[in-house]
Amino acid sequence: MTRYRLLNGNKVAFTAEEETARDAEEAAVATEKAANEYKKKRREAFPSLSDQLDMQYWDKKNGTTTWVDAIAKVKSDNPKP
Amino acid sequence: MAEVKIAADSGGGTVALKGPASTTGNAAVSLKLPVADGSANQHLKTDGSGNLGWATDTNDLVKITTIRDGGNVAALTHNIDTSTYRAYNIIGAFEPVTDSAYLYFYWRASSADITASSYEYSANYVYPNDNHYVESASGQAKMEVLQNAGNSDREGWRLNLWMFPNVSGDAGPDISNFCTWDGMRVDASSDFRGVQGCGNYDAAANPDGFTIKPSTGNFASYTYSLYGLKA
Repeated sequence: MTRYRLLNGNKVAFTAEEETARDAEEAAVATEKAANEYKKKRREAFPSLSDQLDMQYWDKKNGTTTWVDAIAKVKSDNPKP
Repeated sequence: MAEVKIAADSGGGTVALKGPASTTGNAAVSLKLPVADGSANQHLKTDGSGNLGWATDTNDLVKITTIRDGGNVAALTHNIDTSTYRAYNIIGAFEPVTDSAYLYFYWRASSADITASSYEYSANYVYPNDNHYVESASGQAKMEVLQNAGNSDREGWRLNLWMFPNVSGDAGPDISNFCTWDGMRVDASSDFRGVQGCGNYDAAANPDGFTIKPSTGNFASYTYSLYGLKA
């Protein structure tokens, strides 16, 4: 399907070269996403640093594994491909 | 209503100058026209005493255009006039067709997006519960402005971006071509992220335009204004 660009407010069709370039760009985005999306999901799912430090303090104090469990859950919920 | 009606020069139609229904306090208002024609793009102004004269718009920040949903498109592109404007600002809201698309920025030259791997950028994403992360990269073929956004109601990107194109004759070799921005994204789970970022094109170029587009798919909707800041 033809793609369009809004050029200075006017809708114009992509040229053949632009279509080819956009196909390649979208393919590269898909490849990168498949390889690295889990890292980005993990990054947002990890507790904040202050929360992690608090977990580690209480784990040390009480002999619990709250911090390790929380990190392990983020990793297992967002596995490497 | 009183009016002065003037016949068109060729006789096809008329143009009328009309008075208002009533003046403030029923005053007798008198407006005196200028003694000569003005220059191109000047407008009439009053001195407050009924004397009209020609005036030049002295605003340095000028609205170039406002675009409201020009249809599903893969890219939003504008030519820029660097002889008139030193910097440009684009502010608006954008939503992708494809869930979790990113928003990219490209400088443009000779009617083509610049896609050499010389972009570098960093952005700080801040969100509730004292959380944040940093996205930073160099040697990229685009400037990543905002990360994944959702495609449902009230999701998408909100962006306020300033761009400063390099112009021939600028001090130093190609130290311009940078952008700074703040904005937000609302992802496919309707989660909010506040963003501050900056980016640069680290190679020789004198851009004559710019493009923003989703990493994949089209824009589903967009509303934005483009402003120019005079040199």
